[in-house]
Amino acid sequence: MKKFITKTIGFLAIFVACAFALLLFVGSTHKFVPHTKYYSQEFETAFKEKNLELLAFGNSKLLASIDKEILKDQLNLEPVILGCIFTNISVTRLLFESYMNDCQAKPKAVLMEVSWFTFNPVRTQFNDIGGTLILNDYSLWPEAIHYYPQNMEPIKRSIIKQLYQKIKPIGAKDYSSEFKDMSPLEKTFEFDMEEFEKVFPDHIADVDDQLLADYNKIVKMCQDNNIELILYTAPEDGEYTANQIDRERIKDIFKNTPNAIYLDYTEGGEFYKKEYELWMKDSHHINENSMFTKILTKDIQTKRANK
Amino acid sequence: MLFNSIDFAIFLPIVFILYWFVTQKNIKVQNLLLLVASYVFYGWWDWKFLSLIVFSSFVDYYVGIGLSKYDNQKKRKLLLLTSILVNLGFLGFFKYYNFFAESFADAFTLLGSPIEASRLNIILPVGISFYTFQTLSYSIDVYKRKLEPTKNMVAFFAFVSFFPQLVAGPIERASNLLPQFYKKRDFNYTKAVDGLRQILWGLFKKIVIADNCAEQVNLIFDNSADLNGSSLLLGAFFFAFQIYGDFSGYSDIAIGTSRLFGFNLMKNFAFPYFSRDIAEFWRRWHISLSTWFRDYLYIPLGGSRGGTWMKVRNTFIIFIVSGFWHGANWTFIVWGALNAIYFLPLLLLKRNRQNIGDIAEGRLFPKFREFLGMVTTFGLTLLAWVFFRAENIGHALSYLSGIFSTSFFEFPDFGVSMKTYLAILLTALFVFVEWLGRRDEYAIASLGFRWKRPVRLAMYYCMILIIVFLGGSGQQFIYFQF
Repeated sequence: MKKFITKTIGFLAIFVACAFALLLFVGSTHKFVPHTKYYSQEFETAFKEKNLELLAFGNSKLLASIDKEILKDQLNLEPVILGCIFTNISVTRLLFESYMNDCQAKPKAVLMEVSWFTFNPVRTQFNDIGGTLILNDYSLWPEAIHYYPQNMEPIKRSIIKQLYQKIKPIGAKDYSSEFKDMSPLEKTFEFDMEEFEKVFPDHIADVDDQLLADYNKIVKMCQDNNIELILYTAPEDGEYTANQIDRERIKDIFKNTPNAIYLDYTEGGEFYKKEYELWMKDSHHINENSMFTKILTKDIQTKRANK
Repeated sequence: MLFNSIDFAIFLPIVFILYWFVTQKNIKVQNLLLLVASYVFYGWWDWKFLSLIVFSSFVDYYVGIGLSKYDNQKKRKLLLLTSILVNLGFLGFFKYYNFFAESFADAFTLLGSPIEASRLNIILPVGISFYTFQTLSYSIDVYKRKLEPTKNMVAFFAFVSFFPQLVAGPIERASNLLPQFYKKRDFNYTKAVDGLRQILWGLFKKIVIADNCAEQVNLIFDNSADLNGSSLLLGAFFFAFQIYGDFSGYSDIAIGTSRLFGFNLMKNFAFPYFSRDIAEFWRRWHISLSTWFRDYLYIPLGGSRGGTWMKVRNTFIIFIVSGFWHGANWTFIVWGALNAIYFLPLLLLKRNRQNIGDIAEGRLFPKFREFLGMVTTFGLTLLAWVFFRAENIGHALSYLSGIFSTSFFEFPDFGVSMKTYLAILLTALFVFVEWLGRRDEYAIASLGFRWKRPVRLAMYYCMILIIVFLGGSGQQFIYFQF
């Protein structure tokens, strides 16, 4: 019995030691593997420069709607675009926390794209960025337990990608290739109900408790650190919006967020305009990011002035 | 509790330590620990359904005692009937009520007087098909005086709910497992190491083979109407390995876990995809269920002793009932019937026992005839699996007609990705290892024994790494639903 236990523990100990060495090897570098899902350079900049003034968070709707240079010029803040497609609010929360743990100067503002499906755990997920963050920042490990087992796949994929990147670096690729060459004066797509219902069969996005809790943590972090929180919902196709049965319930969460500015560019929203629907490349991704960023920054300033 | 979960990884060492260090001196306390552990294991899923196991155990325990008291055949029959009615009653209600209600309504609709089926929102208790059969075998064996009834209540309850095999088998016979609860178990180092090795192989089969294949299977079966023949064939191929990896993986983990506690469970799979004919396949696939049906249904019906008509009837009954055992759907019944059709020619020509010995005995590669038999048998099972996996008969038929179309010669069009190639590669590696270890209890039972220890350990580490990094996304064990 003693022999069995000693040998089993020994066998496992060697494995754990190797796993730990592997984590050390791939972690702590804040290397984000280039991909069209995000701007990897932006993530690396965030953890290198540590004194950025505006953190922009969100998923593909953020990436599709924001032009970094215009954002910087119009708001006069040094921004960093930390969005990734499919990212859920839990990853955003870990990202924000990781940045705050490490930064030299606290950011002045957080810009976050929020929408009807922000609290939906199917449409947004704990993706590879979350895995990379956990590998890089040991202080997040106690928090990572809350996301088990959904975070295991991203962590594993991240380890494999980081190892692969060390052997054969992947060339520069980023989200900018997702923009299409199209006219902002005509609608170029048809709303596809079948696709919509694949993700939202009952037309309800609902509110996941864990995602809501993480959203509230972001809000609280902004409050505690005196960071301005700017929320916005990027334009969507009218039919896409009209099919969102529980949209008012979710928008109320954003509207009632304490100490935050909320700008809604979807139908029924305060800043909605029909022409935005011509700028869409699909039901919920805008293509004219430069034109939209100019409008957004102007509206932010107006909103600030009226606050 | 799932075998491939963190919960089980914590649960198992705790029970192991309590079993060998705290309760080892008293077999009664040790059995009680196993009973409590088994109820915790089952209750982890839904504690409310524990009452079914407890009730079923109570009934069969007292039926057993009753059977030993009475010599009056009428009373004995009544007691046996009580056990059968309670066990099959539970099974019938929880598993088959909605199926019968719907089939009844469909039959009326066909006759021109449509009626509304009164469906109930019933949750199928995990493992009910397994433990009801296990406890039923006890009552039948006691009734037939093949087994002495037990008066040790804790041992009997622990036998019915023994956690390694409670929810997905192997379906143990009381004559094999129950006496092991009476005897003092001594820790055996070799047996325990072998148990761990079998658990590792079971996890590999489940997480690496079954779960990776499952992702491809879901993709193909869910979109089968739009896919070409080669994609559909690949889907059936992946499903064959998904179900094998899933179910035999569970059995390996169950057998390995039992060994850690000093128990021996029966072998449930013996490399079925290397079978040279369907009869051999059924001697190698889900052995505990096949032999259960053989002993408690086929032989009492007369087996293959009667005339041709009797043989045909009994073969169809056993295969159809076996199919129906798997699930309340016509697809399972057709799957069973199809296997009966495959099996009958061999039985009628008295060639069902022609392939008893080892495959490619004394050789690395099979003879051409053996190889041809293996490929044909695998092909036949592949077609039958389509019924097993399909949503309904219509789906299965359209799937099969899709395979046998001209698009069969096109390149698969279901969105072949790196994951598809990975699943193929891992399955090929798996088949290779299974082939090398086909004479053992399980494929890696003696693999690498001639190698130096560090090399063998490196192989186990590689397996763990593959499980961790290349395992598919966690899917529930298929046989939990049966």
